[in-house]
This record gives sequence, C-alpha cells and structure tokens, in this order.
Amino acid sequence: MSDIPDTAEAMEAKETSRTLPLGWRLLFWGLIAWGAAYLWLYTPATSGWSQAGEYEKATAAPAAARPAK
Amino acid sequence: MAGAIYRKPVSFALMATVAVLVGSVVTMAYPMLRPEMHPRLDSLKAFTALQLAGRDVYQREGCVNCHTQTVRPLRSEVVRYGDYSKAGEFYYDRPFLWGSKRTGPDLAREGGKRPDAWHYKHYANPQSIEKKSNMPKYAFLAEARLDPAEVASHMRALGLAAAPEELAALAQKTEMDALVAYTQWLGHAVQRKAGGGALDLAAVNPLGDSPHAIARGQKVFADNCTACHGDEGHGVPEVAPDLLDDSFLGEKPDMPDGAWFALIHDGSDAKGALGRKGMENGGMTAFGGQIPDDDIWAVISYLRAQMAHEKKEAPTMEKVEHKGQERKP
Amino acid sequence: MNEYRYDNQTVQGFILSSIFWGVVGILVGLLISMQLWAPALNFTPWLSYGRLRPVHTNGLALGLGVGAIFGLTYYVVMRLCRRPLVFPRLARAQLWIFNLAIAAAAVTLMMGKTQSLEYAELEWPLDIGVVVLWVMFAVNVFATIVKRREEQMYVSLWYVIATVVAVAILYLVNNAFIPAGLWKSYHAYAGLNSANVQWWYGHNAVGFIFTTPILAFFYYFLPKTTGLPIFSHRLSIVSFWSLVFAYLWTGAHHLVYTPLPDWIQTLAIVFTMFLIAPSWGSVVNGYYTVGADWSKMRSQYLTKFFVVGITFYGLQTVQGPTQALRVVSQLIHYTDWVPGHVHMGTMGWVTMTICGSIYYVIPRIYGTEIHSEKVANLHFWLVLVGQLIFSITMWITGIQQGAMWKVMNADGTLKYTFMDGLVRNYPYWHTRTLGGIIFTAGMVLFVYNVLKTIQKGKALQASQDPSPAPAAA
Repeated sequence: MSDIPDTAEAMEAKETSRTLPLGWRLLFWGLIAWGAAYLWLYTPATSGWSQAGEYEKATAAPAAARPAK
Repeated sequence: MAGAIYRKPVSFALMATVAVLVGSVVTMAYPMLRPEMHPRLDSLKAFTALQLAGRDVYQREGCVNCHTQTVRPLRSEVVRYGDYSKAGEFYYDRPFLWGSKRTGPDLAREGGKRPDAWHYKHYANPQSIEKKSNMPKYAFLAEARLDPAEVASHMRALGLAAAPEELAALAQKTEMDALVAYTQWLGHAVQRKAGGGALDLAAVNPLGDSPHAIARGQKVFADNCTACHGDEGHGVPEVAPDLLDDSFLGEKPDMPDGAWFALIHDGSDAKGALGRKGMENGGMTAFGGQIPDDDIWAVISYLRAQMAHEKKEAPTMEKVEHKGQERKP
Repeated sequence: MNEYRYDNQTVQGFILSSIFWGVVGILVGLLISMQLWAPALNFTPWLSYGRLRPVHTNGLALGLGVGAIFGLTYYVVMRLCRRPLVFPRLARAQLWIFNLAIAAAAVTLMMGKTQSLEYAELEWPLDIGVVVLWVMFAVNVFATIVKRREEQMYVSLWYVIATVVAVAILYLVNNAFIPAGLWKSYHAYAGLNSANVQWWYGHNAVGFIFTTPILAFFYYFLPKTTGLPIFSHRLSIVSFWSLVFAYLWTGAHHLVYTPLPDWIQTLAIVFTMFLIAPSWGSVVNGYYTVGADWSKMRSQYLTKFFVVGITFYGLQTVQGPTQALRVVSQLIHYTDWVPGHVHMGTMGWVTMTICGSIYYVIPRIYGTEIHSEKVANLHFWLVLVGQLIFSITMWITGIQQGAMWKVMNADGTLKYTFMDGLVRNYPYWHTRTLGGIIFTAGMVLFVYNVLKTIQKGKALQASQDPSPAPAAA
C-alpha cells in the first residue's frame, strides 16, 4: 500500500477550483426550488392547507367516488 | 468561505455551532413559546395514582416499541381505531408515547373499547384471545404489588395530586391492575364515535335465515367475536356474556333484530339507549365501520340459527340445569 | 515514517471494545428478530422484546458506533494533526468509563429502567455518564486540533468538529428530565414538545452519530487505501456546510400526520428533501475519486468496502427523504419498511465503512498486513448479502402491511383486521432472521480476522523490538 501523506494538500485534488458537476448543481438548486414551492403549498398560513382539512375533505366525498389507495 | 476558516479551529467550531443552532431554534425551541404547542382539552383528566403507576409499567416493559398512541387523520385509520388524535390530549404525557412502529395495533383509542376483564386475560396470555398474536405474556404483572411510596414520589415529580387514601389503597393493587387502569385511560378525552346514529328497533334482518347468510355470519363471528364471546358464542366468564342464553336478554327474551344490530354496530354506546346497563370500564366494541353492515346482519342470522339449534338439541333439559351448566368458551 | 509516538493502544482499545459490544448488539438483534415470530422466546421479563429492543439499538449505536467513533476519530485526528493526543491518560480513562457505561446501560435497560425515548432510553444517572464521556472526548479532540502541527484542517476534521458540537447540544437538550427517583424520571417537556424535542434529537442522533463521523472516516480512509486524492475540495465544502445546516430542521418528519402543528412538519419535509443534495455531494465526491482509477476495486481489497458503503449511503439518503413525503409516509410509516430502511444505513453504510476503516487501522498499528484478504472478502460478501435480504424483505412486508391497513371496502368498511396483516408478516420475519444470521456470520469472520491480525502484529513486535510503542504510519 503506497500511502499518501496525512496533509490536506495531498489528500484532496489539487484543482480546488474545479467546478461542481452539472448534475449535482441541478439537484442542489432544483431541491431548493421544489422546497420553496412545497413550503408555500403546505403551510397553513400561506395556502390554507391543513392535514385536518384534508381529512375532512376525504371523508366528506362519497366513499365510492375515491379510488382505493 | 475561502480558506482561512479551515485553519482556525475555534472560529470553525463556532461557525458549525451557529449552523446547527439555526434549524434547532426555528423548529424545536421557538415552537415551545407558542400556545399551539401546549393545548389541553377541557375533557382531559390527569392521571390518578393507579393510572400513572400503569403508565410507568407501560414504559418499563417497552410497550412503546410495538404500539403507537396516535391515530392519524386518514380515513382507514379513523375507521379502524377511532377519531384521529388531537393535540390537546397529550398535555400530561411526559414523555409522549406516540411510538414509531405498529407491530401491534395503535392504542390511542383503546380505553373504553373493551371490558377490564378482556385486558386482564389478554395481558396475561395474549394467545388465549388471539391465537396467532406475537405479543409476549405479561402474567408476571399480576404477581407484583405496587409500592405506594414510590408511586407517591412519581406523582410528586409530575406535580399531580393524590389523596393519602388513594395512595394507601395502592398497596392492595398489582402492576396488572395499574396497567389495565392506564389502558382504560387512553383516549378518554375524545368522545368515542357515537356509532350509526338513531336506533331503529323496527329494523328487520334483511338476510333472514338464508343458509348463505348463516355461513357468512359464522365466518365473521369467528374472525371478530370469538375472542370475547367464545367459539360457540357461549361467552367467556368475566369477559363477555353468553349470547345464546336467554339470561343475556334479561327482561326482553326476544330482542328484536334492530337491537341486535345496534349493539354490534355501536357497541356499549347502544346499551344506554336499549335500557341495559353497560360495564363500568368498557364493554362491547363498536363494530360499525370495521365490518360491513351486511356482515353484521349475517352474524345476527348466524346467532339466531345457533339459538334455534340449541333449543332443538336440548329439549328435555330442565331450564335450571341448563343455567347451571358449566360453560366452556 | 515520522518521529511521533501515537497512542495506538487507546485506539485499539476502543476498536476492540466496539467490536465486542457490536457482537453483543448483533446477537441481541438476532434474538429479538426471532421473538417477533416466536413469542415463546420472551423467556423472562429481562429478556422480553420490549426491554431487549433498546439493548439492541443502544448496544449498536453507543457500543459499536460510538466506540468505533472514539477510537477511529483519535486515530484520524492524531494523524491529520501530526501529533499525539494532548491528554493520552484522559483518553485511557475514557476507554474504561466507556465500557463501564455500556455494561451498565445494558443491565439497566434489561431491568426496564428507561426514559422511553428512542436512542435516549438511558436513565438520568447514565446520561450523566454519557455527558462526562463526551466532554472527555471533546477536550482531547479540540486540544489536539488546536495544538496541531499541520496548518490546514482536512475535511475529516470538519466532520469531527461538527459531530462533537452537535451531539453535545442534542444530548443535553433532549435528556432534560425531572428525576423522580434514582432510576426514574419524566421528560422536562410534555406532549407535543416532548415529541418534537425527541425527534429533533432522534433524527439528528442518526445524523451526527451515523453520518458525520462516518463521513469523516470515509474522507480519510478512502484516499488512504486507494492512494487517490478526493475529487473536489469545493464539493467537500458545499456538502459539509449544507449538510450541517439542513440536518437540524428535519426531525419532525418522524411526526408526519401526528397532532404536531402542520407548519413544523412541512418545514421538516422540505429540509429533509433538500438533504439529498449534500448527501449526494459526498457520494459524487467518492465516486469521482475512485473514478480516477476503477482498477483499485480489484487491486485493493478495501476499496470495495468504501465504495459499497458510500453507495448504500447514497441509496439511504434518497430513500429516507422520500419517506418524509406525506403521500409515502401514509403508506409506510409505522410498518416494517422503516426497520428495513434503518438497517440499510446501519448494516450497509455504517458497519461497512467502520469495518473497512478498522481493517486499514489495525495492521498499521503493528506495521503489518491483514491476516487474510480472503477472509475479509468473504466477510464483505456475507454482510452484503445478509443486509440485502434483511432490507428487501422488510420493504416488501412494509408495503404489504401499509396497504392492508388502508384497503377499504366499497361501503367504507375495512377489508382486513389488524391480525390479518400481522399473520402475513411471519414469512418475511423468518426471512429477515435468515438475513441476520448471514450478516452475523460475516461479522464473526471480521472479528476473527482482526484478532488474528493483532496476534500476528504482537508476535512481530516481540520478535523485532523488545521496547514497546511502535511508530506508525
């Protein structure tokens, strides 16, 4: 086993300015965008959504009209 | 963030601390200041000494590893267990015991669902009621007496009141008594489902005595009723009454179909309306919603057929003898 | 290779202790997996499922996990700081207290002394012991880092520092209890707050015991074993900071559809999903690192431990966030899916990476080679197959359970009773035990291999040099 020395310089690639992989950047910003939208849609103060309200809706509709989940 | 911070461990540690504190403050610490995190239903009663002792047993035996205590606002869940859990039901829960795994069923609505006797029998030997249950036996709880001084110190720690005579009475109680008392406490703050509404005593069994209905009823009975009422419907002593015996019907030997239906559909809740006294702690489970209405009628068909069968089997037997007979569940 | 005398004895002490408690924890796991389908195996109250399950989780999280974290962190810190520990005797004392504490934890949990909070079961006297241990650890780690001889702090040290800080905060806040006796206490928070604080702790205990320290080892031992430098420093930076920032918001995803206020649940779900990005930052960094020379997978037997480890980390960190989504949570929450998920992380990622690291460290301590690469390879395949059997059967049965709980007839009644669902679990629970047995067999080979290597190292030492304390790489 040829060991590399225990220094931060040796253990990481020299090109520290290397740009991040495109796929990963898309994932990063995509999740932030998705999160902002989800936060808006499922926070009672912004959208009026609530889990209790969702339940009321589910039980108010006729049972037969819903596909069995 | 370039460079420097990775050479300064103290600054780095401070920065990491700030990073972990932001989310902690917003989602964990700040909510504590909001009233929505400290709700209390008016109907919620604090633990009695016996119930707290039972909760301690529940904690010690690790019941929380297999049972949850929170019903989710989902249609199937409300039908299975009862109304979904409300924030104001947990004011006295230190710690909360919502759990994270349902190897066994949820217990948030367990209180009042079944008689005490069912729980004594079930805790001591779960397989005597559900043959294929994987729950351990807790018969040893019935051997262990409570220590009033210990329970008193636990009540004090929680700031709960207990009269001296209430504490003294604990000396006569076992851990099993306590666990059953706690079980019956669960979910008491929310009105149990009132069942199907108004009683219709004039309702007539639409299935009559068709052989198909009787066969179906036998299967439904085996799946849902035998645990308490015995394989043949002759009841289990101290747990649930004999359904084929006239004495169960009390003053009204021939209970109408509608009353049978109400009792099965709404459980003990229907008893008051029928002018019968229910059991003090729990009683008949309300099966409405858990099994289809048609299956309830099928069970009634089956029970009527069984009654007729029994009458034919023992025509010569004296009524007194019949009553005194040893009944095996 | 250098002139310092590293405190290898303490490192090895922690590693051996961790292996010991790991074996105990795994055997208890096997027993409780059988109790699920054979309730007669609940022999006595002490050995009943409800009391043993926390022995299994604590034994492995605190015994195997934290034990290995102490030992391997000291190993890594000393080398990355290029100096011995500042307080070697403190570390030695910590080793003894650690073992006493874990033994006491096992006994008290079997006695039923529990706070009933997952991963925070230990009663308050033992909590104090844990805090003392953590302070000892923190003092040594920080002092050594502050007095280091290498200017730049490598990525592993960042994760070590974050671990030390975060675990301290989490543990202190959630273990605030009102004592009601020597071995009995009640949570300082009630109801919703009790739940919210517990899962803020519970999830982040996973984050800062099973993720950040293991990443520290991954970032250190992967370049060391392969000789390949980490792909991107910038990716390391972005991943680190976004991970430690986002993690603490996510605890309430364990409380989806409970009475906890909706906005806290939603916030938790959002940050949980976001965590995919920083987690995959490390996955990508790992893959691209080995991507520079995939032949290392064949030529260097340890490479596959780290590559497969980081692969399961990647799967874990996609599956976990998905579970937080309300629509998924509805189906799989409270089912056996969840233990399936947890065990992919603990058996596939944590144990795999820890074992790889130990295989690297033990021969280094003695300047020798591993006893048998063949046995190590067999160990690798057995734990891999055992874990896959375990996780996959639990996912299947979890979906089946969740579906059976939900299915309703057209007239609005339930199709299945609870017992109908339970009975259908039995075949899967049998298979899970089988997976556990295979995994255990692999771990036995691991223990054997490590002990044989130590034996060989000691013999070598005795033959070479009568004076103790060898210099290590």
